[in-house]
Amino acid sequence: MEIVLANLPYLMEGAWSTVRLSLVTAPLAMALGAIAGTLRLYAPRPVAAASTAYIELFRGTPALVQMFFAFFGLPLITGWQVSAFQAAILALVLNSGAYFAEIVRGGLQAISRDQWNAGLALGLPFGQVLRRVIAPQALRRIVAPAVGQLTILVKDTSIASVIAVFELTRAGQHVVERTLASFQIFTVVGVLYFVVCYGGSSLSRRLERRLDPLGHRSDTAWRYVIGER
Amino acid sequence: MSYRFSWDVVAESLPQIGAGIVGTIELASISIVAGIAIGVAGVVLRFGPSAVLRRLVKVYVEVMRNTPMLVQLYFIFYGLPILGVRLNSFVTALVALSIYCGAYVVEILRAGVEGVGRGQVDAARALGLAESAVFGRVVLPQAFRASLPALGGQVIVMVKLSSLASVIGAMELTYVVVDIVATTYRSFELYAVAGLVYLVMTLIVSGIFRALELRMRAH
Repeated sequence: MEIVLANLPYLMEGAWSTVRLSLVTAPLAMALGAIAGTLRLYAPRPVAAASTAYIELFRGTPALVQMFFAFFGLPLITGWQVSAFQAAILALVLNSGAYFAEIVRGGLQAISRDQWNAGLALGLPFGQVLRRVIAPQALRRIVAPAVGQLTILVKDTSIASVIAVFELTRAGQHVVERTLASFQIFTVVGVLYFVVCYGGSSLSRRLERRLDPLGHRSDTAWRYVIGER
Repeated sequence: MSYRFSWDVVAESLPQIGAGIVGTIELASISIVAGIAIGVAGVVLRFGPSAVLRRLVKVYVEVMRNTPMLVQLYFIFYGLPILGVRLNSFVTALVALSIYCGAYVVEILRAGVEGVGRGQVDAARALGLAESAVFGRVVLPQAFRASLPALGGQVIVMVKLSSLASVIGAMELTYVVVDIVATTYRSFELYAVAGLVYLVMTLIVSGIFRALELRMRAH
């Protein structure tokens, strides 16, 4: 317990780095996801295909391998010397961008054809229908899963520790190396992640109920319990 | 661009890469089977009569879903030996992945069970089925069928997540590739190939599950 208290400031520094890493990555990933998800649906063939390829490539491979590739592989051919922090951001943005893209696509696809037809029949150009009619409605379906994806992003930043980016998991490893109190320290590290991520995932669930476009109120009146009538 | 590719390295290390692929398949398949077993047990308790156990399952699910797999691996591998529980890296990876997978399967099946609806339960009870049969033969099979796409997604997650086992030294694809890179420095070629292999594996899994869904729908 003393070891934990003595090292708590250092761990909090790590936690703060995790938050910073997430805050830098999240807006970039969401922007990339919005673009890639929209292009996959509405762009001309080759562009849509490229967007699909990007999404499937990054959803189909592990974030860890992407991170290794960004840090150790890419610089070999580009010749750019990237820091571990930059490589981590690149990998995380591309990785979660692909997941955001699928969320955006799902949201856009859920809007009925009638909305498109009505907008176009009013003489609005395609871009305006998308921006003024479809996107606002899709947003309701996008917000909750996007918040859920953000909490996954926070968890995934821990992977940056393997290329020696300083963040919470790395900070935990440092303390363990110094104190050998692996059980206590990794417990505290887990608790710190939990505090952030649980907040995010409960918010996502609340939003899901709040923003449900069909206004489903899950029938809380009836709860299935095995053996209870 | 002055870099000279050397794909020979990849060709020469094919046997090791193959062994790594086997390790990855072992980790992913065992953890998904164990995860489903844990998930079924968990969902039985989740809808069971004991409020304490229901709470406990909820806590388990939330803890596993809101902390990084990497921290869970470190906790089991480096933390638990302090309590006298010492597992080698491969077993640690299996245990960590299974427990993690189990939490997600509980959530997937819970959503499936809630989707089955009251009518089915009432009807089964009205027919005089025992409560165990109402759940085991009416509710759970339908929940499983409805959950098939989500379970397929979870299998893909486990294939990818098993790569994290490399950080504690478990024998699987990423570990093998990191190892070869350490001696050959061919990081671009080797990580590209590793990515490709994972992509092929996840595509195969999603293909299998799409076929399964189609078969199910045909019935």
